[in-house]
Amino acid sequence: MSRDMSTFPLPIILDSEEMGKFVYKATSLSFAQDEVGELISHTDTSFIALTNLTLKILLTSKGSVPNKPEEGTNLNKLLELGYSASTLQEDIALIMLDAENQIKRLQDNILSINPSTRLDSIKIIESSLINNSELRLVLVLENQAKQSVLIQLV
Amino acid sequence: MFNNQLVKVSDVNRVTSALRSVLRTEFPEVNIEEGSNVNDLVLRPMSYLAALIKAQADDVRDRLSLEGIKNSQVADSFSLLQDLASNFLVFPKDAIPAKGIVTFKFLTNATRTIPSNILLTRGDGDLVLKLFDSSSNIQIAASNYIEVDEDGTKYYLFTELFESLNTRDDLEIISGNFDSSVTIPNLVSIYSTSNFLKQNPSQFKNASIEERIKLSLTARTFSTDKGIRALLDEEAIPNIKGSLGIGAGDSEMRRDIIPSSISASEFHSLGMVNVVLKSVLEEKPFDITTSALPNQPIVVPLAISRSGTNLSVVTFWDYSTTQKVRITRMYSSITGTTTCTAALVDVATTLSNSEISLAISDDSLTYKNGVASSGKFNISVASGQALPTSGLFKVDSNLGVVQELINSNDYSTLANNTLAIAANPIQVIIPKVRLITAAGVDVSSVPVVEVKSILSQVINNWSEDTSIGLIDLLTPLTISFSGIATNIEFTQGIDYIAYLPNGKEMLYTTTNSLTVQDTSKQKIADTTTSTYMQELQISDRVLNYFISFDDILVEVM
Repeated sequence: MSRDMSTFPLPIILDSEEMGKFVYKATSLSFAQDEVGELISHTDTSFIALTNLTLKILLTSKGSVPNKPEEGTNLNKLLELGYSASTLQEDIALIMLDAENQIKRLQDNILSINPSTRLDSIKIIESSLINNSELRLVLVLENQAKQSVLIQLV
Repeated sequence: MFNNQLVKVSDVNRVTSALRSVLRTEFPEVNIEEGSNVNDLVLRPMSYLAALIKAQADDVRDRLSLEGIKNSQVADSFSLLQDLASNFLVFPKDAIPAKGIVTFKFLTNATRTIPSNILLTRGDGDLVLKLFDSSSNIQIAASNYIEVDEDGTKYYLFTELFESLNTRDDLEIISGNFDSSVTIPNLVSIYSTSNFLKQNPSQFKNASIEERIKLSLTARTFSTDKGIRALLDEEAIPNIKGSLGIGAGDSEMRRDIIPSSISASEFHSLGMVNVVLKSVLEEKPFDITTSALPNQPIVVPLAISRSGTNLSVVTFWDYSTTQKVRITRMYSSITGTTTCTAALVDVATTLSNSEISLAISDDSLTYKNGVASSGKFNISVASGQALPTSGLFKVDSNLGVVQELINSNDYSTLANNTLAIAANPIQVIIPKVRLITAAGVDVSSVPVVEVKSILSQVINNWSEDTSIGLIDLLTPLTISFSGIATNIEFTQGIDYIAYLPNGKEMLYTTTNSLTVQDTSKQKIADTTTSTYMQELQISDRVLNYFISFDDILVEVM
């Protein structure tokens, strides 16, 4: 059993109105330290490993890794370049399918992998336009131990 | 500004592998596989940056025009070159991991993978080993196993080079079993059959920094003579007196000759390299259970015995239609001395009851001196006699480790055919060295042990590319005993036995140089031709001399 550094959404400073709503907003991921200054880590058999991997693949722009141009998804491009309401559901489904395939391919190459780390499926619970510039995505990650976690991206 | 167009994917991958290997060594508990955060978010960006720096450094190196400065006619160009060279930093190493060959024993020869992050431990975990080349997983195909039969059960062996994570000065890794950090199906055991090699750290620290600075400008490869010497130094291979790269066009390269079945005329295929090691040989006893010598890196079968009694090792050489030359060698386990004689005998002479002789089983193995191979040397005994039961051998333990280095991803090159072989051992026997003392010097006050010590040191540490001359032995003796001895002479000359890679032995005697190329120095002159020696890849520069204290007789008068 080995350990890996954990990533967390890095909270941004909120205005007083947002503070009042008790929301947690982040626009990037970061490593974090514990109270004694050590980097926070998780074991490679934990569910966190799978969540970290999924978020990393989803939020990596395809083509941004120079020696692995196929890695990542087009989610960032979709958000930056705009989307068509008529094809949005299909685009998101294809992106999730792409991410799921990449994760499974990667995990197939790892010799001994714990069922709680191995991805079973990514399910889209909700994908809706809040307004013209905001999109809400609610995903459920399920591992082979049949545990699941809810991820909300806005 | 960096030019990212210079970066190649292969550079990034190579740097990633190297960084991963370093991280595994320092932090074996950290997950650095593909997909881990450490790999994807830390290692990969670092690799890209390092690859960028490497690309720029390569560019700078190309612009240095070292050759231009070297060949310049300007007076201070040489000191300019020296200043420039000093920028290529070379540091003494504080700690050197021990290296050794580890065998995995399986019940089946199925295709399987050994993960690159495997750790082997022993005892309470004080001793931890990692793969020497841990940049990628090891894929084992069915053809990679060596099949062995033990008491009717078939086992499949796979060997790999490992190194210690611990680098304590006093760490000794002896042969024996290890535990694995990962579970591998059908694995019977993991073990090493010999002790791990480790260079004395103080010896390494004191190695000539100047020499290493020179070598730092040499590409670390096993394809050039300088590269081989640099690499063996860099990897801290212990007990190495010297090394030599033999390649295309060298007279000692015969391995690359295309077989006569394919080509009628002698034709070299080129592209092969022999890494000839002049190691300090280890003395080891092994049991003999078949009609062949044990599967070990044997270079000298010092003593062969049957039920505790040493037997004479005999070599017959064709000489004429009526006579043949017989070389008889006997090692005494009681006195530690070796006696060797050469005689012309009748052509019909055969082995007597207390004698054996050795022959190579396959001619192609002649070109692989010292390389362990099952059933390499067959033992012949007199008719009706039982086979020997044990033997004392001199082995070259460095061969396996260096061959694994050659094969490792770090150093193997495309289509390489590089083989680590042992230099040809020459056992020296000094029947008598006479010191005539100066007037007034008490004969009993001359330290005989010191005479032996000086002679042993010169012979056992000889690493030059030329044969030892009598003057090389006389000079240190004369300097040490000036004022004590008025004359020093080798009254009966010096005898030396050449252990040939085909299992045969040849006795020489000389009064000047300990050469093997001059066949007139053979005890029965010109028993072989010099061409014969050349065909065995032997010349004066690939010899490894050794002498036992007990084989030096000192007379003080």
